[in-house]
Amino acid sequence: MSVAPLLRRAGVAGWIAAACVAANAHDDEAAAAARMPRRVALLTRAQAELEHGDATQALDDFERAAMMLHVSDAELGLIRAAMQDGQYRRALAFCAHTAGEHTDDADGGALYAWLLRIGGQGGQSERVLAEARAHTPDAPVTIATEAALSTASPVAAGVLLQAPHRMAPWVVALDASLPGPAARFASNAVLVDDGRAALLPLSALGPDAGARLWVRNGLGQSVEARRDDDAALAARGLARLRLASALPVGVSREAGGRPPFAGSPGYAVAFAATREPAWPMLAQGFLGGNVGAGETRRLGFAASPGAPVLDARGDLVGITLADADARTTWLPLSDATAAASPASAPARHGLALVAPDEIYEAGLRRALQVLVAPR
Amino acid sequence: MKTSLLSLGRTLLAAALASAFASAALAQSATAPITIKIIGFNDFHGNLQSPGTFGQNTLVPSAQRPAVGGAEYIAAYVARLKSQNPLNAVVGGGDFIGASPLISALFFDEPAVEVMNHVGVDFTSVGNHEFDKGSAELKRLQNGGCKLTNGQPDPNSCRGLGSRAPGTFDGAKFKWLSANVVENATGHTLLAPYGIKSFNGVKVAFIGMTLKGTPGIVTPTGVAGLTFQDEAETVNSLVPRLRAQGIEAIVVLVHQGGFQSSPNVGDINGCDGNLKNADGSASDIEKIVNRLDDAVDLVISAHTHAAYNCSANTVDVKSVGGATQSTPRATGLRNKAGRLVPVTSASAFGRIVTDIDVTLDPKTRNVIGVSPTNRLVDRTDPAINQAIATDSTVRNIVQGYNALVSPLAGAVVGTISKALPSTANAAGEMPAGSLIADAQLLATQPAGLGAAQIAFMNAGGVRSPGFLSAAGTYPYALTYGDAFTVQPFGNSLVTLTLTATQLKALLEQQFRGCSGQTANRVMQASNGLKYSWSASAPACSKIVDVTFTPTDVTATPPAATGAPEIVVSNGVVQNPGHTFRVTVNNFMATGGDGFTTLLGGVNSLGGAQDIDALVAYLASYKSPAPAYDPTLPAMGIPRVTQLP
Repeated sequence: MSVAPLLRRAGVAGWIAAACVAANAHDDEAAAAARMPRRVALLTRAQAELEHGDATQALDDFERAAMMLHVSDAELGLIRAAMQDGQYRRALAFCAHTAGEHTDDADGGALYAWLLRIGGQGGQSERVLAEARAHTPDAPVTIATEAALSTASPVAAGVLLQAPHRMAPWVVALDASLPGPAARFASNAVLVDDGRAALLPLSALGPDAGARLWVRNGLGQSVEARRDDDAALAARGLARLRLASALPVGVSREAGGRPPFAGSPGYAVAFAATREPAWPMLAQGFLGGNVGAGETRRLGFAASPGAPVLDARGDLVGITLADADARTTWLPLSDATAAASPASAPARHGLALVAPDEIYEAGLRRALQVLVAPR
Repeated sequence: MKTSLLSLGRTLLAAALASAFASAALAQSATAPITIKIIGFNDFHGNLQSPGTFGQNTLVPSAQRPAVGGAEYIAAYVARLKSQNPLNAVVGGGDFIGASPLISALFFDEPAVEVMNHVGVDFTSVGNHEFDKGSAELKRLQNGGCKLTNGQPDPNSCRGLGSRAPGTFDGAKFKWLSANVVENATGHTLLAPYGIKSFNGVKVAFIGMTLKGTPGIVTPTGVAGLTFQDEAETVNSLVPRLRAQGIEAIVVLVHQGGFQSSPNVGDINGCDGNLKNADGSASDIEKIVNRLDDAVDLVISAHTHAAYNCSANTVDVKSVGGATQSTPRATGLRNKAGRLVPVTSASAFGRIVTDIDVTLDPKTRNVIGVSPTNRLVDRTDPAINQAIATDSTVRNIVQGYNALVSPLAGAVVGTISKALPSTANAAGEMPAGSLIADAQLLATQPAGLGAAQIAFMNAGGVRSPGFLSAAGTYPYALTYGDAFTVQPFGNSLVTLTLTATQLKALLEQQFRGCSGQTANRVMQASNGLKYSWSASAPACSKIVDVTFTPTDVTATPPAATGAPEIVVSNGVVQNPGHTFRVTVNNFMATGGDGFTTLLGGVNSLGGAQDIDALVAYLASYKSPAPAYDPTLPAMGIPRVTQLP
């Protein structure tokens, strides 16, 4: 038992206040936490920093609080701050510990199950969730997580958006414009051109050429966008959006040269169809061959249209589409003329597979939600 | 004579002096203090990979905090410290395993144990997380052997990347110590209570314990049948036993700890508030140390994940006008006798190691000095990175497990209807080899990818045992891991143009004695090519007939797309100038396995990895599609015929 259940019951707004209330708990840990005003102040400040988009400073403050007491509230804060900062692997590793250490708190196990699932470890997610269910079967967060993860495209809502576990990023507006209540999810998209543009299936944009558009990444960073149609792209079934300000691309490069060969490992990172800020999900498998004589290729696994396709190194190589039979295909973004390159595929050694957490971290910034609203 | 006597006297004097000096030197060396190095860390929690960045203290701006940790870096730092003093011990404060990331947890924390073996840990206390999966599992991790699930070896156990061989798990080469954990059934400690290391004849004892409160924070099944005794009482009761063995130097490894309190900047060598609780009360670790026998010289603590160094080397760090001010303040925690005892902790997750120089009096065998320093396991240290590049053993283990964590390793890539071994028949044809050759033809058959007509796979590249079901049941769903076992080399494909004459020369070069070939090396041919060879014919004249039928292997089952063409008839090339696009791997294309004829190929085009080609080909035979069946006439098997 620790302070986190009290914090959860208090909801987002009352999270910090609940830390003080915890002094009345019969639990030593919670009481100790509440007796430390400097620690409570640090947590308060860290939470505010997180909600205002200063994930780096929030990480520092949560870490400092974690140095004062070994309680899950600060650890969960560290995990969410790491996610907000795009450090999925750090968040995942730390959450493994929190889930295993604070088994009486439903929050850690539920969040770990969620993070595993979105990062392509569905089987392990189920195992962790089963353990969480064994320890905290009646906890609302356990129940809600189980319900959400039983769907093909989990969406965090209700209790799942409460601190300290919150299974989604906070919204961070990089310009003056935020999507209003009329905005709806239109499509997934791919961040390209050093973060200045986005590509998406042309069919995802409706006939309203004057509609307002926003894009948002898995870090919750949101900017307004405008259509920047290009005939060549349109001929390939793609639309381009120009962003009001650039979004960070992270470590994932736009791979040039020849697209990956059929049979090589491939990944797609896509959002569920929700207008709420969210973390995208990783799908993985083996890339397929060409569909007929065209550029389009079979994906080999299911993924929503408009998602970035990443190769075995986590580099951006294409965008997912849907063919007439609703099968998932993908379109390489590199120059098709490179297909005749005399060079072989780059050498790979050993099993040559990368753990999906590395790929997901790369895709977290490349995948975009596109939101649309009438003017 | 006088001179002689004098000379003799001098000689005797010299001998006497030499003897006296030698004795004195010996006596001095026998009484000179010995400095040993103890390297400690705790709460590793299976963090084989870096847990992120960490600062010397919280005054260090985030941007300046280096990435820390990772098993290969811990190994390199420990190796560096050990190289500074051959008299050393590597010890832990518990929680090496449990609550660990997937890279360790998925494999039952065997990877964490294996890398700690390579780090060279001698002893570690148990922590509460060592009991997460119960005492029987902890004993397995100590002693080795594979994990059984429902009575069967678990496929995620004994991957053995850091053990002697795949399929094995060595167990911990270090000793887990559990002085205060008693098995109710036997009345004995679960594991050894202490370990002893001798340095130039002076023994040092390491007593290892977890916190008494472990049962309150571990799943009941994990601690069933065990009693956890008071930490200080346990140590104090062992002191006479150790002294009876001539041991005066005692180090306690205890999985319990404290926190630095206000003014907290979290310097890794600080001891703010002397580890008292925020309200001024004694912390858990302080309560233990306060009751320890005076014989205990050093306490390496853990559990709270905090970094601290309460010793002669403690520093008080604060910000003064924006600048970091560090002031030495010798301290420690008071023991039962009121003496200050050094107490350390190295944070968690392999971010820090504690470097402790301990000076021993060889005469009294007692500790006369303790000098600990917490050091970041800094991944940006150039010398450390060079050391890892030189010895990448641990890095390779980590990378290997990182690949196995991928769900793709176990993903089904296709189905086979029967066993396809890598053993060749008398003609030299292998069931597994025919499939691979077809896969390589498929990958290079499209016009833009090589326009290949024929593919050859070298027999040596088809690894044992071929494509088989371990259970012997078919149809069998092949996984990516199965495919990789047969094609592990990471070769890429090359398509080049050969004339009919070169094609025959290439086929002749399969046999010993032809064009420098040193052994019979029958290549595996793709669908559409058929040939016969004479066992009795002389070298370079063995090929009798060769026919080529254009075949579309992208179709399932494959289909002929043209009439058969006779390339060689009764040993004679029919149309010497006719060309073929032929795919081989890059090893063969550069003359590997003695196939120097391929060096004469032209218009070469690079292609896919062999494993990718294999996966792409098998995708056509993945359920619900029919399984790959080599007995179908469309597969064109056999493709090679041996004649007398």
